Amino acid sequence: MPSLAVLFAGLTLKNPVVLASGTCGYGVEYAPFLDLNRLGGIVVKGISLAPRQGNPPPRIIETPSGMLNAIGLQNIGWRAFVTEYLPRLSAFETKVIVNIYGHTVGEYREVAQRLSEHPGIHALEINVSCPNVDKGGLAFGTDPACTFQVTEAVKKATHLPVITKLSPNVTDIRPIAKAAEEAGADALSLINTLLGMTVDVRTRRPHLANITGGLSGPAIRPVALRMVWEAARAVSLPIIGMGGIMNAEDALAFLMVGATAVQIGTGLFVDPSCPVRVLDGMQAFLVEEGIEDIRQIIGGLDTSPARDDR
Amino acid sequence: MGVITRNLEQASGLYLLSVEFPENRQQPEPGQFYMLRCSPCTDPLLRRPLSIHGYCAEGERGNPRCDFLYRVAGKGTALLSRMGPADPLDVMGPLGTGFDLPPSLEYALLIAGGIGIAPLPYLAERLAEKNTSTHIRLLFGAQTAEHIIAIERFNRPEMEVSLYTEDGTMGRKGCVTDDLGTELKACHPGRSMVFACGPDGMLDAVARQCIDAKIPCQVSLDRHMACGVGACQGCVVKGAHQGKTRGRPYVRVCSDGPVFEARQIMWSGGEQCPR
Repeated sequence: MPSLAVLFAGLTLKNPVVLASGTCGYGVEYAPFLDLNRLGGIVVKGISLAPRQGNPPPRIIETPSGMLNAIGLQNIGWRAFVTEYLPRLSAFETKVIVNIYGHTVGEYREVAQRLSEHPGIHALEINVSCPNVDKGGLAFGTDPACTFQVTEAVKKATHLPVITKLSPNVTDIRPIAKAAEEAGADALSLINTLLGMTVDVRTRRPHLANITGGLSGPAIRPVALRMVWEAARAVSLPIIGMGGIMNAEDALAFLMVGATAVQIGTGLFVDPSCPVRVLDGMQAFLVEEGIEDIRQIIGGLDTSPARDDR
Repeated sequence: MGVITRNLEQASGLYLLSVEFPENRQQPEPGQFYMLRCSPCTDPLLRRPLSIHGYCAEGERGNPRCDFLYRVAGKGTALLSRMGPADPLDVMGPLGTGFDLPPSLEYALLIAGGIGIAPLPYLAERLAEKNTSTHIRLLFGAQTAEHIIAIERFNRPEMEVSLYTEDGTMGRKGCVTDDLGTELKACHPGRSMVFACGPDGMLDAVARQCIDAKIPCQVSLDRHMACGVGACQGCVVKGAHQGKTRGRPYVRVCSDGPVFEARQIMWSGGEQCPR
């Protein structure tokens, strides 16, 4: 039987399939629909220092092969999370990664510190796609220096492995990836959602109350794949790739361009059995190809010039 | 995975869909819903939520059968309407918090606007089963006579129906809430309950009048959904900090609802929602 285990940021994930932040709540919401024990890990909804109520509705709208969301980082705050949900999550045999965010570097540092005092968390994932209020609301992740500062601050505040989750809404992902690496990140995850909007031409109003939102789903997969490929060539860190993964073939593509593991988000909404089907499909691929270990796929993309046989 | 046994047009753009499930499925509560996958492709991407319209523990093939009544409103439902008997259908459910059926109810006033009739026949049947002395009255308003469907499910002696059409082609001409004031006067606060389903504007009017008259009222809401299970927070509405919405500015239609007590929701007098 081929091995699916991967080493990621100092953690051994039993397989490369992880659930993405914001799509599986605090884990327990999907427990009746999918066996969390089968997964390599789950990333819980972004946690902040204080609870946040999120944006007014409408918060979601379907788009061609995708969807926009403007949830607004709604979460119950670190204190309620560790009290009400962390103990329940610890019952599952899967790695628990907590996504965190803040409005200032100080907030990131503090929420990282608080969470690190509690057992049951295996890693922290830093969401840098939020506005930095100290820099006029520009997203942390659009600036290498801010990405560096936030990653460094979180790294200093915790003993846990730190994964920096990159925003794709940048001109060039490579300096941002390098900045996170230089700041001491143990790994990177990408991509977060792409900024988009849709309008209703009859009412002449945007569909989302927030006007713009984050685009996810199969529509963004080519962009995500390209950015993972670019980031993998720019840094030596392990990378979790995500963006519109719906099946095993999609997941394998991300591994081939350099990801060590993948996250599934929107795919979960379409079909709660998606993560397990991806897992089973990856396994079947290895068997068919006679490959003993999934790690042999990572970075295995062949970009040599095509041979002209004629 | 279920199998479609029928998908019949009842009136232009209105369909009755029956799905049988070969494996064990929990019996739904009235007011619960299912998330239907309308395409095996990535577009349209998201499942569509449809409330339970009818349930039979043993359908034609001896398996549990769920019935849905839906209106073709967009891409997903258009594709759904073209499916036929023997087609497989990927269905998640039952989901959500359904209607609360009080143990001894003297009078149940059901109010339906357009396709809002969908969850009410099953509710009426369960109310009647639970308590044979409950008197059930349905007020059903639609655009035109053709859209008045499913009322044969209200044929029992303890049930009565009053119809409204906007163009006057059946029942009274006007809106289903036109005589609500008078209707509510027949409700005793301690022994009656209003159950309503329909467009937001109608629910807003029903809710405000019931709250003013102090008649308990349950409303079934619907919103675009992504996950359908309470994880993504995409389908929220504003809570009024009452009962289960206390301390929670936004509540999820898919899991905290779709059914809420009227007083638990912050009504905004016709809040726009994408359809």
